[in-house]
Amino acid sequence: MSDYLQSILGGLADGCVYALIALGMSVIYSISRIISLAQGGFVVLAALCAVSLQSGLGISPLATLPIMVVIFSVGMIGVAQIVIQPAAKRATPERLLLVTVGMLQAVGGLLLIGWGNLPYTMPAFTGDAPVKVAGLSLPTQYFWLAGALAVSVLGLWLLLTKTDIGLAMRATASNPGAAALQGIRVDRMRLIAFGLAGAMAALAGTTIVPITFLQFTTVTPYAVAGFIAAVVGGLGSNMGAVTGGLLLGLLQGVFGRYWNADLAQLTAIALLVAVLVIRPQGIFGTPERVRR
Amino acid sequence: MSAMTATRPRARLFGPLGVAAALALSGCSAVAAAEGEAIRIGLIASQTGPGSQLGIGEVRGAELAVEQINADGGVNGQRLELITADDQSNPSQAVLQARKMLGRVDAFVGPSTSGPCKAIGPLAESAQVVNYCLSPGLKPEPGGWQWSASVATHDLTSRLVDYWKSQGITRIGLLTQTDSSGAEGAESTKAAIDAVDGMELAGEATFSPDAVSVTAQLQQIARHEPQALVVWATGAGAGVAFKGMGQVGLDVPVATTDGNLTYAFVDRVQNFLPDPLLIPATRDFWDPAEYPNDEVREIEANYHDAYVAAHGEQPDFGPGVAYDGVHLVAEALERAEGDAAQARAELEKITDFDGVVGTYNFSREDHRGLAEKDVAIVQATKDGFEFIGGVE
Amino acid sequence: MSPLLTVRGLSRSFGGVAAVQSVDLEVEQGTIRAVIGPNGAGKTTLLDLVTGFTKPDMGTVDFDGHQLVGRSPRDLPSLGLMRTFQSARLVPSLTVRENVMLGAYRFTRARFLSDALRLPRTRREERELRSRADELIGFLDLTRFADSRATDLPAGAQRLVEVARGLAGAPKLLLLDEPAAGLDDSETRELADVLHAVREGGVTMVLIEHNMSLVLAISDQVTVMDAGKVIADDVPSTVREDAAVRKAYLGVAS
Ligand SMILES: Nc1ncnc2c1ncn2[C@@H]1O[C@H](COP(=O)(O)OP(=O)(O)OP(=O)(O)O)[C@@H](O)[C@H]1O
Ligand SMILES: [Mg+2]
Repeated sequence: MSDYLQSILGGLADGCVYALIALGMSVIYSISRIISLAQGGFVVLAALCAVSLQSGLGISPLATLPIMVVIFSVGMIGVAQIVIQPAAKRATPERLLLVTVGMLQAVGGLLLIGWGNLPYTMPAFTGDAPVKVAGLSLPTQYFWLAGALAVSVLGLWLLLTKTDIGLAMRATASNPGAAALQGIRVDRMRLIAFGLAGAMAALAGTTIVPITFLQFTTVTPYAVAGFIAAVVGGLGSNMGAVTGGLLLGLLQGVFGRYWNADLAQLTAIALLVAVLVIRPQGIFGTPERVRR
Repeated sequence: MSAMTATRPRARLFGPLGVAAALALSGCSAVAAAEGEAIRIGLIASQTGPGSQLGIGEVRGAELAVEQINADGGVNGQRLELITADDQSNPSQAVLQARKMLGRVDAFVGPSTSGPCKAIGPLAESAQVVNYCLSPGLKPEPGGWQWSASVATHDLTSRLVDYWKSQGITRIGLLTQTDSSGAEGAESTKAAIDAVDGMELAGEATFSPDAVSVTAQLQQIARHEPQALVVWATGAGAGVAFKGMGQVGLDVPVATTDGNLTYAFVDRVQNFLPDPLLIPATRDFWDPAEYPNDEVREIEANYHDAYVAAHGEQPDFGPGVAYDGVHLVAEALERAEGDAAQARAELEKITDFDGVVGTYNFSREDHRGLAEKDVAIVQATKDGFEFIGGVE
Repeated sequence: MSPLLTVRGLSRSFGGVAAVQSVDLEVEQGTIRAVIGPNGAGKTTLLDLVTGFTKPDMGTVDFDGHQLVGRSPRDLPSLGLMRTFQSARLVPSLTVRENVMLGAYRFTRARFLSDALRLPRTRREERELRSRADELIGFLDLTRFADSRATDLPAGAQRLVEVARGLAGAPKLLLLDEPAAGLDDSETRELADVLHAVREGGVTMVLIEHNMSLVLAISDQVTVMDAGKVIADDVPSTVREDAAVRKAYLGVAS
């Protein structure tokens, strides 16, 4: 029983990362209709940057978290301004997808050049000794990971529903033209969305890397898992992204007990894709979003 | 002599060639004549991309071998030349680079990994050029034009299981990554356990290369109470597994693939090294005291010392196979008196050839030439690889 | 005192159709200027030219010392100019209250970081914005719709939401394109009261309207357009008697 629970917890840890990636994709998509597959790459990039910061400058692992969040939100705004916004002015959404795939590859290449074909990790934020609860062994980092997801979800919700920038962002998401007429700087709202996605990539990468090892090859599986989670949850729906991510991780963990890991992953994905047959708009998506 | 260089490439050119190869060659024949009287080996290695960790070392090892062969008078008095190309760890690039080289080179060494090796197989076959592939993952056809470097996975696992048996370990757990090398490791390990009386498989699980944690799999295995664990995974996957062992408190000897025989890898996972972490390894990783004779001792010293002098570090997996590959191919070309089409027959006749990876015995059926005798167990420590035992 | 809005020689053709032909118009501070005319007379096009939705072929638009020709519509809220549309352009997935709050977006001083951190100033602003929006919603008798999705409302009510949103921006000049279309008589009378009160509050307005009783009741000056041209420009009582106006409106209920 306890190791059944352990599989579920392991799956949920994977799921937290997928959820954070999907959430970033969802925020970007809802405001700019761009599917940013590069989000998976930025998570690994943030992780390896944090590792280098920690080992190179001797900063404590926890202290790398706020640093990476700042660097990545500012960095993503820069990337959006320099690469994505200009491309978005000219390219069709399908072409833009290619642009983000290209960015994903570029991030992978950068990781290979900068860090080599090697796995990286760093110590846990609050010690490597796991907490023992009812026969379960929980690395304390699991709590940080769950916290990172909770903070992202809650923070995003507060921002969107309780502030006027959030209102302006929702207006932009709903109808950029009508929003612009009220004096909302639509381009700026899009940049903020990219900044938020950057912050989430940093949160995900920095909190996950102490539990695991990451290297440049992780980039694509993360992008794919995040994308599936976002689509199944309902592209553009934040609740959906989180649900999709956690569900994907959970199913993988549970199926992995009985089958080969590849088969488990395939089955989990197939099951979620089957959801799309019944609900093409995803679990939390609105049909309107699909049509647009 | 000049007549020979002129006929050498031609013999192949207008022999039973594929149309594509002929097209690729037509532009090159003038160049081939102009380049004169050297013997040329084309080295295709993954100098960039995921295989670069192997490829860069391979180029170094091959260059070292060419240098030493030329210093000893070349191949039948002719200078040996190395033409290198980067396949970017990509099969289609490997084919492209091999095409470009056809007609200019007398044999191929490389590529670095099994995908690109398989991709250029048909080309080597139709052009009738020897191809000494540097990946152990290739399974060469008897009598074909391709060779495969280093020992086969089943020889590695079989030596490992024998070693553990000698240590009184009988229950072996198995954790593998779901990629082609992991799958082959799993199969070979199970075959090796089956082949030895009294050994049994104690728990088995797989994980995908992007898994964040494998603690659940490790706990599943731990329930079977293994006395030792095989982790057939490279890179991040191996790291995740080692880390997970600490988390679930599974404290048993671990063995892993020779794909992890790199100093850089051990350095990355040094804080999570299982005690001990064993790797079945070829002779270039052994303790000099274990070499079979003085001749081998000299060959190994020649290689290791020159490599360290040139690059300031010990060679790991890549340089050794390329170094041997160049020596073997050069030996075959020498025996064939420079006739590339004869090189396959001559290479198949090479036996008892002492290289740095092991002692090669080729035949029509065996295009690998190494066996379990060339494997021993080393232990990965923070300071490098330490010889443990298992030599016959 | 110079007029708040001065339009000179404004012209625009679409293909062969001269939608607006050298129109001159002055709107004095604190007044309501009605623009009437049959369907296709060019009234909406005139508003579009003033607000930058359509580029004029010729002419100038001066508003409160700013030249408007060549500006983007999105720059106008910050100059104090708001407008409503003949078919409302509300943000679909937001509630009525949120749409009205958007009208006041330009007043929010808070920046992203303080918003994200929910600093006290942000929270105070947010509260003020919300209570002001609720006030306007009450003023236009829309309170029962406050939490509905704006685009779920009937077309008439949606135009009233646009009026509230325009007012939320505390404009100097409010341009209204047929706000009473689709309202019943009592609703129209209520709207007249509202606009009256708005003018008392010092807001200048341009009102495009077909409903003559509304126009006659509340406007200070009336411009009559036909086929892109201004055919009359006078106080309501005079315009009502004008022969040309009667001719232009022949066949149109009035
Ligand atoms: N974008 C456009 N392209 C082509 N023709 C246009 C365009 N906009 C307006 N028109 C034409 O210009 C003329 C004036 O139209 P406009 O919408 O300004 O009339 P209006 O007075 O607002 O009428 P209504 O009372 O029906 O709203 C019409 O003939 C119309 O067809
Ligand atoms: Mg109109």
